[in-house]
Amino acid sequence: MNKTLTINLANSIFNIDENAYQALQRYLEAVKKYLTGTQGNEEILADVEARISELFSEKLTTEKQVIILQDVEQIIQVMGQPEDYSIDEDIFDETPKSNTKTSTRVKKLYRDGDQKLMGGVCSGIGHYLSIDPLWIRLLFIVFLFGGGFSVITYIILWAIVPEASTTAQKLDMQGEAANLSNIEKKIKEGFDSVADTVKNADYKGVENAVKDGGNSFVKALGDFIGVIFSTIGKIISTVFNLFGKFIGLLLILIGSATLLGLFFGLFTVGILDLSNLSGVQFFPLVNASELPIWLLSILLFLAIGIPFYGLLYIGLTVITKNLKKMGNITKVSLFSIWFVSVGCLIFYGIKQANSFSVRGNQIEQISLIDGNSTGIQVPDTLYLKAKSSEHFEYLNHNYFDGITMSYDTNGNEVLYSKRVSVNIKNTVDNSVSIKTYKSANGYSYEEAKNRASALLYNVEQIGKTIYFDDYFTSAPHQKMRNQKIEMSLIIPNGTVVKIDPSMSEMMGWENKNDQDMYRKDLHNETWRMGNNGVLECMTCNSSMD
Amino acid sequence: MNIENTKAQMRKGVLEYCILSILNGEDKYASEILESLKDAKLLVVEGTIYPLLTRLKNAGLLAYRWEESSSGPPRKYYALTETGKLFLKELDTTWNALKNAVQLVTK
Repeated sequence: MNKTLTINLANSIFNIDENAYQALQRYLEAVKKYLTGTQGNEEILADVEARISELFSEKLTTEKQVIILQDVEQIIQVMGQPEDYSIDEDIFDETPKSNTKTSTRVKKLYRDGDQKLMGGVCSGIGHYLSIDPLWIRLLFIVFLFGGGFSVITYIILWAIVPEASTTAQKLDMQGEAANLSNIEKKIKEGFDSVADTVKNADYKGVENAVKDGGNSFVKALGDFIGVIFSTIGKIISTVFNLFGKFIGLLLILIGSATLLGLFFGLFTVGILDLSNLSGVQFFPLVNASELPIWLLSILLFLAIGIPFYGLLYIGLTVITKNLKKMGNITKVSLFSIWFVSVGCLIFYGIKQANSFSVRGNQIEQISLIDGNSTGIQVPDTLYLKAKSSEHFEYLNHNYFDGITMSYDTNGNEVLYSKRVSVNIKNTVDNSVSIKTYKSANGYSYEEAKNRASALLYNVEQIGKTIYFDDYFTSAPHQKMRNQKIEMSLIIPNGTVVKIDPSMSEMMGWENKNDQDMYRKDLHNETWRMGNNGVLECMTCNSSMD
Repeated sequence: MNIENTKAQMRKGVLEYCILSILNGEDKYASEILESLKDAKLLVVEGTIYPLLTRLKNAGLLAYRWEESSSGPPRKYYALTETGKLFLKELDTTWNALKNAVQLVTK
């Protein structure tokens, strides 16, 4: 015995079993939900009801007065699943429609134009996560103080996530959340169907006496186990879904953080040309080509930024699913831009390396005291002193490979370096002279040699004292190309040398001495040039040997 | 690629044209239209046709009137409008061209 309802379907009256009625109602609800947003949906629904009513009439005879569940199921097969009611936009949609029989909506991320403060991004996320948009807004504001991260994220989401405009999209936006109460509902639905099967089994059991009773019970048990398995399956897929979303979120974080960092790191420096910042001021000195710093910044931004934008995009597709699709043209042009910028950077790198490829030098010899030609007695004791520039010493410098950009007394830019070294060597002649080796790198030997000879350096002799400048300068257009000055002070054998402490930094690696003393410690003692070119210590304690 | 999907797309593409053709010269109500389409195996499930009919009606290609029926409630009879007839004529030309083209290509 079944309870029967009387319904009015398209102005016809039908008697219908309760379970059949429920199935019919679920079906019509599903169709209605599916058609929401379609133009003339109510009219379509009325037509559908009229057709079902007609089909019902065909099912009824004088012996059969009531519509049963089987009738409804057959009619649903004739009419088709809710998805079959879509005819309009999606005809050539490549993705096959899922054939789920339930009418649950998959939640999609949209911007909510009805509850927006700016672009409706926060309220959209709020709907998606089923929480009050206030919390999302708060989160965005918190991140705003954490380096402005949320501004970029917000702008990107605003641009990429579509706004929910149709009713269907608004329903999609609010959708049914994959939360606990829904999982619970699903499980309950499963149990209900089990209960139904058990009921039916009982009914059949009475009809077929003892014979089929056992089998029916087995069937019910099988159904019950099936429901449990499908429920577990649903829970697992939900968990995996969440895990995937987490990965997606991570990708978005990495992508947008990198883009943000690049943006501030390169664009601000490059575009605004903050060349007085320490670090940046070396750029024009190192730079080999005529490539301006802003162009290099943009190239770097593109070469690094585009792959990270790709990561960000992948993350967003994982999270939102209904992202505006990136067109092939966009993809190809992004890739080409990336390819070109990488190519330019490689070219630039090669050019840069090339500008250091050859080393050239310029040798100058100055005779300080020539005892042979002038007849002047070479002094038996020479004093070596360093002379530093008061002007340059006063300025603060950030050295890049020992060279820096500074300003001369007139305020003009000038290259300034302390890469100067002095080695003491011997000669059999009765004269004191200085050999200056100036060297630098360049594209070609000629260019390197010219650059080397452009170095400005002074050495001066006053009485018995020789003053060495502890620095050299050059024009800024000569750029930083590993410029260096090495000097040989050539003195007759037997000359005594006293080295001022100011020279300690300048003493070269080739100063041989019989004490194996470190070059910077040479100034502590008095030395005499030996016949073999090795400085002999005159003041060292002989007991040290 | 799903073969069922492709088949469905092909069918759906010509469905509007077929509905207009069925109504050419004779007014029919939904069930009769369904009958013809199902006989021709153009329709798998009936549900598909209702949104289509409403769309064609909203586009001004079809009009309908209610007619009493001897058995059951009144029926909705659909008829081609003048615009619909012109539309159909144009589709006829296109279809013939398309048919020839497909035959030529698949021969």
